[in-house]
Amino acid sequence: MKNNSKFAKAGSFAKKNIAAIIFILIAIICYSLSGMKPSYVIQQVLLRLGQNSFLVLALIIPIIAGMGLNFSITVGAMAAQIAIFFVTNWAYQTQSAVFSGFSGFLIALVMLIPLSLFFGFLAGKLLNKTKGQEMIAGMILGFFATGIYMFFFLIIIGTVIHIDNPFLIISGGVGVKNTFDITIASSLDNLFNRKLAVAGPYIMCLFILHFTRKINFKFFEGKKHGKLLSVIPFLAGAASMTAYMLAGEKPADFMIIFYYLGMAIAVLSIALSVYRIVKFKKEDLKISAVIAVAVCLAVIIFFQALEYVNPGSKAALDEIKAILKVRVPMSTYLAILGLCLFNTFILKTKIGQNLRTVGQSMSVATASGINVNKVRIYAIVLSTLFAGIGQLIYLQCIGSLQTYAAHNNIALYSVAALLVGGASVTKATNKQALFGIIIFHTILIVLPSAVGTVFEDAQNSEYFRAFMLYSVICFSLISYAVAAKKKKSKAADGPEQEKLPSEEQE
Amino acid sequence: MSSEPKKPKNSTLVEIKKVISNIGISRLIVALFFVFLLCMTAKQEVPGTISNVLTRIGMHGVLVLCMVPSIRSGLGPNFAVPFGILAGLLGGLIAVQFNMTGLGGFAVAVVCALIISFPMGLLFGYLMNRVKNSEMMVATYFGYAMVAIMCIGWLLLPFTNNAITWSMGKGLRNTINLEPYFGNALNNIGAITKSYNAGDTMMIPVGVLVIWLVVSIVLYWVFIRTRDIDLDNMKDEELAAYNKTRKERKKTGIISVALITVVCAVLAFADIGFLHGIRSALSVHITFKSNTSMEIPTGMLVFLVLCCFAMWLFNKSKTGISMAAAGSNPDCARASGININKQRMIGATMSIMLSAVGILVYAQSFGFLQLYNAPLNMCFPPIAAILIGGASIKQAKISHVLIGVVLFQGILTMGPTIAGRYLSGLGDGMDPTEIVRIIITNGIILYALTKAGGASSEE
Amino acid sequence: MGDAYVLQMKNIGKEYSGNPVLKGIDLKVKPGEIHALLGENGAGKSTLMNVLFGMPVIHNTGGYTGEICLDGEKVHISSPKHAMDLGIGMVHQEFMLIPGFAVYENLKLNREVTKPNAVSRVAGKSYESLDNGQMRADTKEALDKVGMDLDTDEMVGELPVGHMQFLEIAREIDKKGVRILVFDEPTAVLNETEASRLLESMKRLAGMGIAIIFITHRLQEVIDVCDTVTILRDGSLVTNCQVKDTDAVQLAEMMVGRNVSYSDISGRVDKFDDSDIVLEFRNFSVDMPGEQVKNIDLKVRRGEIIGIGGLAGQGKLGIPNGAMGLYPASGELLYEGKALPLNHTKKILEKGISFLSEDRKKIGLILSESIEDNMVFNAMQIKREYLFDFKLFSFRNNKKIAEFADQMIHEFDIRCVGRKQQVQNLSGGNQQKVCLAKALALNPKVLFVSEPTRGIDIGAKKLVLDKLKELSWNQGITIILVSSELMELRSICDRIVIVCGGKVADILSPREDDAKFGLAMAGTKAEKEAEKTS
Repeated sequence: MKNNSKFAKAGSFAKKNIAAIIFILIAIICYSLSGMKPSYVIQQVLLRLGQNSFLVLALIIPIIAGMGLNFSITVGAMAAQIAIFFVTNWAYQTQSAVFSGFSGFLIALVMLIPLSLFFGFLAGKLLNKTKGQEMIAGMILGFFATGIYMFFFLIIIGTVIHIDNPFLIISGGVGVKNTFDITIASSLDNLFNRKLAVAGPYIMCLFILHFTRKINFKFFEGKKHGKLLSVIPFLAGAASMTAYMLAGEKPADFMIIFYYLGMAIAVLSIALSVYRIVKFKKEDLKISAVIAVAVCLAVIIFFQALEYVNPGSKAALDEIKAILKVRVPMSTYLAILGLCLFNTFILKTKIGQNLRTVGQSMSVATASGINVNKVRIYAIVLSTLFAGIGQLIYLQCIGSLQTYAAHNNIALYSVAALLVGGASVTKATNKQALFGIIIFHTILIVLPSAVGTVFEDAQNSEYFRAFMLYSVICFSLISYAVAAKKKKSKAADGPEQEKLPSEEQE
Repeated sequence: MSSEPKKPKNSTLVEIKKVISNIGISRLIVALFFVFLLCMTAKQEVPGTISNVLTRIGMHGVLVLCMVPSIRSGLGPNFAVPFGILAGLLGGLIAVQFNMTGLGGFAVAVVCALIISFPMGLLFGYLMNRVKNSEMMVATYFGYAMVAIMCIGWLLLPFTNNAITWSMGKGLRNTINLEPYFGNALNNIGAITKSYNAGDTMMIPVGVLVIWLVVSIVLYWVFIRTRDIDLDNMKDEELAAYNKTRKERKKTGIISVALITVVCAVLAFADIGFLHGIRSALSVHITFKSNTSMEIPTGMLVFLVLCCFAMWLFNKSKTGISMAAAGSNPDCARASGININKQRMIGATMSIMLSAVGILVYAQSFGFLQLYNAPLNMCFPPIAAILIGGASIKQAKISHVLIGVVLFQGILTMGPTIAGRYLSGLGDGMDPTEIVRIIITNGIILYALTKAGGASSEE
Repeated sequence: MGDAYVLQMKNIGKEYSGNPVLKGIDLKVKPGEIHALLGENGAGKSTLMNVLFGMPVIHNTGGYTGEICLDGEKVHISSPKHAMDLGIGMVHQEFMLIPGFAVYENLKLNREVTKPNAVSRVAGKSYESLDNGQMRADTKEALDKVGMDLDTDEMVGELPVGHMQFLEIAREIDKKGVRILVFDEPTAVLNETEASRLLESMKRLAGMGIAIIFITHRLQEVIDVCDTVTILRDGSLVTNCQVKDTDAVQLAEMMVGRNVSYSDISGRVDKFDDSDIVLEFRNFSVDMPGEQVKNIDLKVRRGEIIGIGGLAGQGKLGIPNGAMGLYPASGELLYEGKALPLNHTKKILEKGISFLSEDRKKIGLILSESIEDNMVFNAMQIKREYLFDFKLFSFRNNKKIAEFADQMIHEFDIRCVGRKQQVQNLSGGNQQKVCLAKALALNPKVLFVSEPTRGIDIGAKKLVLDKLKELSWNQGITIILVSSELMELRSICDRIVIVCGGKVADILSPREDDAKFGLAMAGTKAEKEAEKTS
């Protein structure tokens, strides 16, 4: 009986995450076909996780507000590109170091904020006028804004705004070049990064502490200050690990204590969980949390093992060394962590509750006195702002700006990544976003080689990629529409309102 | 809602405002832009522009027409045009594979395209019935996904003609030259070519046109237009009298418009000696600086007109009427015993089939079949065209197709010439008309969405 | 003090663009009292409550006359928010609940308890964290007050429908300082046990000193729980009285009674043969939201005008809509002794049964089409008339259409500038005439007519009713007339069926007493019969 229920639980877990599971399988198959080096794949995935996460996470709030996949994040990306263009221009013109590197990044950020708030406000206004068709309107808005954006960069600059900068402006003096190098390249990534050998276990320990947090809480439940006690291991672990990280590239010997202290707390947390599982049975444990902890543990052991194991063959040894040397842009990850925390935080506030209410039912929200249009604009403004920051992060990572193309596909790729992670048009979480990026980009990275192995022509991988992109979005839209139709026919069973006499008067 | 309608002081002004709001502000801007471009072009390359515009109207007309059944049956504009295009491309490839040439080749291609697109249309219709209220978004991505699948398909299809396949390696070519097959098959039927040598003078009766336009509008305004009258507070006799005079006025109006049209046509084109003076006074004279020629693709235009006529007939048929009813008021249609899903299916299938034919008309004039990602770019322009013509995402008529395709393609054709003249400073191969195209295409679709969205949020 | 009224509405009057809908209404409620507000549909109950809640619809149309006093103090209620602040609550008939939210979240919708945090100190109040613990506790308390034991964390979507009403009430109770609570037909959607539980919790609330205004159509409930009653009819006050001084029959009479001008139907009553049945409903049920029909048996005699009356939501609209296949129906429907295919509109129309819908704008007409197209639409689709019929491809026959349309425009005096005018530019009455012409274009043998006079002016009303009478008297068309206006039914029908709770409550002659109609509409007779059989 117990086995049965466990299987049922696992079954329903699989059913809920069917999309994610399918894509994991695709990723594994493609990877094994591609024959790529694991070090390259890991390096690329970690890089792209930093590049894209912010953009994908920016999609979550509009989904919660019931506005579906926000294809209009393109508008936010344009704001970022405008900011970067001007910062780069000032950097060339003033030759001042302020406009390059991290300070340049911050200036671009300051410029970006009002721009993207304004653009987001306009987009929100428009989407309020197209209720029920937000996604198609957002998509078309993205295209429309591209036209305006091109008008600005191709015609306004040089005719109305005169910029004399041969690095950026087409030789005729009107219009901005197709591509140029930006001065804030890698500014955020280089602020603070570590090799994987150090950063990997660190991140994994944080994950373990995070996943075991709830189990700890259960353990201390009922005791005095139970909640506080349960957070202590998390905080202590995180603090000591962070202390070690912040101690620099080559920390003093005694700092290693902090490293092991953090790890010890993580291990202790796991021990506590195991104790709890054994003692109190499994009822209130989430399978996903257990799996996550197990994976994290495995990764840590893997890292530790890599450091000491000598695999005999020279190639394998080199590969391991290469993996351990992969740089992890911790500062970018911290920014992403910040957005994740913000998304979680906002949902626990009054305004978050308003977002959720509007997302569930606009009519009930209106009836209970919530200004639906205002809440929806708020959602889009936030999303646009985060998309702008996301594009800033993306571009500083790429290092150059394709003036007229950089924003074109970001909505498409971000949406697809989110959906691959198991999100839908009506539901999305931070976890799904991050998970989706990892799986989606793993597939994108290995796809050309995998297709090359099968078709003897890696060029065709572009078509497979397009197919995956479009079909995942298409499938998700269809299942959403079908579900909405079912829901509508159910809701129609409600009692009909008695007409007011005033309505009958005409 | 408004229980007491305010009596406006200046009713003419209000009525003009109403006309503007009926036309739609964005549509008006596009139309004015068109006129502006027309004026700018007047002194330039007139014959070339005319043949270009006419050719592009013919090329895109059928693709725009395919929006009509889809909108009328309640699906909204057909965002899955690329899906239908795939069938057209397959039809064209089959004709090329068997080395069919000329009009026969085109006919075979069309027949094959229709046969292939029929089940595809049914599939699309089935899908659209499952996703009511999200038709546009699903159709867009369905179209994209299908084009992506076909990209893989083009790599695998067993065509053997060397014109289609790469000489080495797998798969089909990106573009297939139709010149040896059925390229220009339609265009060449009854094509009119007129050449001008350098130094020749051409008269364009712009003045006559303007006179005709102004007089017609005035006549319409005075005689034909239906006025706002207070039906309920009128006495019976008054209403009867009004209706009687109205009929007479309308008759007078139509007759006088017809008359002025004939007079203007005679003034503009008839070769009568004593009218020459007037005509020349009312015309713009152009002297050509170089040899140039004007080509009118009569066959293609006739084909477009025939298609429009067939669609018009269909709209007047029993099925057409029930389809429109199912689109504009599904509840009412259901109460009349009409199967809504079936009507939507018919609309979707017709639309997909027409888009398959449309791409063949396009390709025979363009001279190439474009495979792989090319169909993706064919998605939005036809939608924008019909919306500019006056359609909404819930209503469409044949006139909207014709007006829309003339305005939209006119702008796209004339734009580069003008821009080339005035914005020669631009470099890097960026075409400023591309910007105009993007803004107009998406702007008009957005505008239509906001108009429709307002209605749906009231429900 | 015995007569300290918490709410006094004195001499309330209200006009909508010149039409008085409320005339000199008085209403007084004491704390802890359950006060019934009775009246037919359109009697003015909703308008009175709109006045009480300061709804925008009142202020946008010129406000009201008379005065409202709360605890003896005169107030002018300017908005629903203001009403809420004054301690007036409303339990809606339709549920304003979110299925995907937990019970406590729904109860505290947009009234969440929050506590400040670091961010909110900088960014403002809307960033304060939710205090879920406090919200759960409040919820528990409010649920206890209405006598409901529920898990506060359960999803509302997973609760039985009967619980929803209690959540609505709990939400009102949870608002601080509620003095007056209005219940708008709360028992309409509940089954018997749920309804009696609800009445109990109403009593309990009244026991806590809250004044309750109870709008209902079920007279028995009034007798059972209410202390006082106000009856409205046609926007006027009939009476304020103590419930203990009256009984159900008297209440029914006061609700319905009015001077009916009987039309001349004498000499027609005997003409109908009880064995010559055109249409027979057997065990007929319709699943129409808000208008459920449950196992009805009814025989319609050839050539008669049979009226179907009853209050809104009792299922009278479900009968024609179900018969025409617009809403899923079950049971049997016999036409000329043969079973009709249910839920198959086309086949039913083909048999010569036509329908004039109550919703002319949504179902009756295609507003963007012309008068002539609307008129011949059904005939064209069903009978293939007005066509050049080439079987596979048939085109509209403009000439025939024009002839028919012009004839109808003349016959019905449709006020238009021509048959090509769009119907959306016509007034309600003229639209209704187009609908009638549309139904007649089918040459029906049986005609369902649903609310033919709703929202149209008096002249058009008379024309439509006269036309119906003429169709029946001169052309022998059997008419089933569904209307919520009893007067209208009594003026032209041969028999009147009163429907209550989805069942036939009574079949009455138009000349029957007012009280009988009133009781039948309130379902008292049906209930008594049910008691007898059980």
